[in-house]
Amino acid sequence: MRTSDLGLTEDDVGSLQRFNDFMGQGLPQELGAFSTVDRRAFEKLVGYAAHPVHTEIPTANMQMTLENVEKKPLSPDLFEIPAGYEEDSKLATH
Amino acid sequence: MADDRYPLSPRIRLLRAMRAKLPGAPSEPPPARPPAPDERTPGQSAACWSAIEVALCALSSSQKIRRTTGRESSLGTSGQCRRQSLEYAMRLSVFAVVLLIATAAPTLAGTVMTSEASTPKISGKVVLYIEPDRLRVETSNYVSIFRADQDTAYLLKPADRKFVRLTSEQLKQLADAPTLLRETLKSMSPEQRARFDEHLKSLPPAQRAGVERIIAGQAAKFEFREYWRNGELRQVELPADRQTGGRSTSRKPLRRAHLRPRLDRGRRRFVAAL
Repeated sequence: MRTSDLGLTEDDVGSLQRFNDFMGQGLPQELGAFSTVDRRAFEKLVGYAAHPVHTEIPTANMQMTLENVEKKPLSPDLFEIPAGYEEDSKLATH
Repeated sequence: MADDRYPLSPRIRLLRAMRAKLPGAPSEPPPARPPAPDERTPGQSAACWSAIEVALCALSSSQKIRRTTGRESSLGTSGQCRRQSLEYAMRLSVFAVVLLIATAAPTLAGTVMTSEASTPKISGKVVLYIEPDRLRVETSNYVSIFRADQDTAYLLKPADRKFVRLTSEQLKQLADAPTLLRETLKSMSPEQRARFDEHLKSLPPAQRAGVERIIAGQAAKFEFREYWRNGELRQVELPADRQTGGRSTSRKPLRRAHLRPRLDRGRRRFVAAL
């Protein structure tokens, strides 16, 4: 879907691409970037700035559907580690 | 014009400037007298006001007054200077308000995207809080915070009140891990390699397949598939390759460029990896 149809500009969602580029550094060279969220790849494909509204990755048994987009002021605390959290070298994933 | 209610308006100033150039123009009004002590606002510091006035005069003399009046000779008079100072102070106030609004704007630029996700480990809402240089992703179990300004990502597990920090340096090391693994495997003795293979067999199939792909230097084969609706990209799907069961048959390591999707217009889908 066109990013503009979501009421957004590329600047609004620019950090998604930056996050994608950042995490892409951790992928083996032969695996490349996270193509599923590579906004530049989407734009190259469809010819305009786009955002996927529905994504399926059958190999990972994963589905994701965009339901709502809104613009509103965000608290800076959202982007900080909350007080009382301890840093761990390895996070248990189970 | 002399009794105009708005002596500082551009129109009046322009008319005054024109009149001053005409022969027989009346002299400039005398400078305003200093306020009497009883006219001063109680508590106001005259010295302070003078300092502000001098500063504003100094600021404005080279830029504004000369342009607006075209008369440099009378600039030194305290009355006109005060009038220009007031004008400049007003302009500064407007500028300050505009600046405040402009600097406050980024705090209003947040975007919140809510999705419904279904994965083996995560189900339910996924909420993205997006600002130009930072991102927060909330799922039922985890919170990820990306700070572009710090070039760092944090993965939080609220249940344990713990977090992991990921830096660019760590990620680059992670990217080299497959190469290190392959080199380690090559240097193993036959016995060590046999033990490794046994351990590999004990892993769940999906995990084992992933490790085998890494050892072989292969990426998973997957595709973008798009669905058009009114000429718009509506859905993106990455199915496993049905002929190979999701595994690449290629022995050649895939380059990053191979993962860039290409458009297969005949089949109306995008191929992300070959």
